[in-house]
Amino acid sequence: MILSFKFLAVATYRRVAAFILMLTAALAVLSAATTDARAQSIRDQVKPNESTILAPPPRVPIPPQGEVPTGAPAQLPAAKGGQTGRYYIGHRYYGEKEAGWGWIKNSADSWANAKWCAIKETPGVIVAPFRTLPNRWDDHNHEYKFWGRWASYTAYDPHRDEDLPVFILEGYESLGPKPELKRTPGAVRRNRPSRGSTSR
Amino acid sequence: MTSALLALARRVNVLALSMILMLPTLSQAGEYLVLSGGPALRLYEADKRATHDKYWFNFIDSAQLRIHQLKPKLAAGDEITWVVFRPGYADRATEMKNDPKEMTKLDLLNEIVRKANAEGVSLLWFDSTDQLINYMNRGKDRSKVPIVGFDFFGHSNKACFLFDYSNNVDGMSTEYLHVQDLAKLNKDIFSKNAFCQSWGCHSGELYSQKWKARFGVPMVGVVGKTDYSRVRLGDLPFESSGKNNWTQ
Repeated sequence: MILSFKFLAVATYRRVAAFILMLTAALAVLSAATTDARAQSIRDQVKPNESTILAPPPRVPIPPQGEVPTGAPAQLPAAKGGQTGRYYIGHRYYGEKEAGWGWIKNSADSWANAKWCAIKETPGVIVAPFRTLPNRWDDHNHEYKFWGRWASYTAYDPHRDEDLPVFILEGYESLGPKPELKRTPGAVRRNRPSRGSTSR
Repeated sequence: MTSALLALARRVNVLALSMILMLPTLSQAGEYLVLSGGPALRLYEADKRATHDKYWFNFIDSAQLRIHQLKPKLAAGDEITWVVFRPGYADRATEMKNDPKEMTKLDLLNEIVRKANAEGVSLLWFDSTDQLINYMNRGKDRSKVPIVGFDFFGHSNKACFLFDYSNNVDGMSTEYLHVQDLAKLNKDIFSKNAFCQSWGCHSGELYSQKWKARFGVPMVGVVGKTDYSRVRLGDLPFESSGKNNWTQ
């Protein structure tokens, strides 16, 4: 009686253990299959439908572009914003492949110490002087007295793959056209692995 | 006999317990991130030859299309989080509101919330790259909730994801994730089979390789430019040359 009960218990244990093992294995297989199916189904969506590629995209009108730069606007930008206290001198440089505004230096410094930089405008309050002119290249090689401050952050120029200091503009006064600076646009480069990126 | 039964019960309990402990690893829940960068301001772009973001929701509508596509394909337990660069849309909405020529006076932030609710996904705003990095690293316990997928919709060049472009500063970005910054993201935040794709321009030329080197998972990216012009018609962005030049 005891022996048969013991035999029954062992048999039950084996069946339960076998059942649990089978269940575990089934769950593992199911999980792997689900993961593979998920990865595959998402991969299937990587490439757009051929029909969408073949359809030509709608044309976006391109604004008319003149010969650049002229550097000779019909009139100089009028003074704008607060013009008191310490000021800087800015030399505008326009290049279609440059996102920088130009060079800015302390009023007493030489141009050798000027920074190639970006300008932070405040829409509705003050914008860069060239926005008052017909074209953004119209003040190429113009100089300005600038009032404002250097930002605590930098801006990334995707054309040149480099970081530029940012000048927060608060006021300006035009000094008119000036001779071209003997400097090449661009910041002192950080050690970028992607140096030379011109992808935008 | 009693001791044999007790031993049997103990073994069954141990097996059951180990099975319960194994279950979470077998069907581990993950998080799928869909990331939307912000649009440019028209003030800075309208007069350019290569003008960007005439339409304000290129990176929102495309992300929504992708979310819609992903939802039925995710494993049970996986969740989608839609991560959106808020300042880009706040600034563009202000510009639209103040522009007398702009007929559309949408509250873009509310509109994004509405879209996220319609898709039933979590919406996470971020204002800076540091916030994004912090969320990807520690927003959830990545040993238990790894990132199982990642899609980026936004401006990019081959070396950088630009969360803002021509929005804070004309022609530039002040919040971005450069390939050099990938080291700030922990190596093990992605699951082994994670699917990643950049729908921005040029990512396949450098970013994909650096991504794979950092995280061990591939990232699909395009060699060349992507075109968002058909997003409003319900199509995902496509490789603009028509050669379907995606790589990873």
